[in-house]
Amino acid sequence: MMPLFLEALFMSLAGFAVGILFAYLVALRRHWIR
Amino acid sequence: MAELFEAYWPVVLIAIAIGIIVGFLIFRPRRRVRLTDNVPVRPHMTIHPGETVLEHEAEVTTKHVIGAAGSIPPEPADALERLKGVGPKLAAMLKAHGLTRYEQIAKLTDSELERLDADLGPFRGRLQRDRVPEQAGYLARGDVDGFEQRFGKL
Repeated sequence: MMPLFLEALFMSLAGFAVGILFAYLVALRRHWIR
Repeated sequence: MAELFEAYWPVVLIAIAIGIIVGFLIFRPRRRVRLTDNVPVRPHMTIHPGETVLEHEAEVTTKHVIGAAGSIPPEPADALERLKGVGPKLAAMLKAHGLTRYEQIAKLTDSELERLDADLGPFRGRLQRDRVPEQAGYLARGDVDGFEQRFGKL
């Protein structure tokens, strides 16, 4: 079984990626970036 | 997976929030301030054309170099429409920006190109995509063969 802190780390990394992706998509739609 | 999420949902939620904040900081809209000669920085700072120190200096220097009564003869304009990806409309826009010869376009620096690009409205990105400065370089040198080899028949 994976150590507890690794599980938490992976989950938080996944969450962070989702957050960045969300911000990226919003920025793309609002033409803040090209 | 489900039980993992069940156990760590607060952590995930916080991570998503941090991700959104970081993403916003990276992708946020930045105001690009462009200073030009004909638009005042502040409304009360009106500009009187021909009265700026720089213009006066330029005039004096020009007269000093080419003689009091002299004036620089304008160089003949090139047919910008010959460049691939440049039509009559874009050519007119470039002319409005003072770009009438191939040599001028070829010599644009990256930052100048970026500034020009921002003013081109519907043609934004066209100059880079069609490598117009590179094309102009060939035509400025009169290297029609090289041009046709890289960009197709003129």
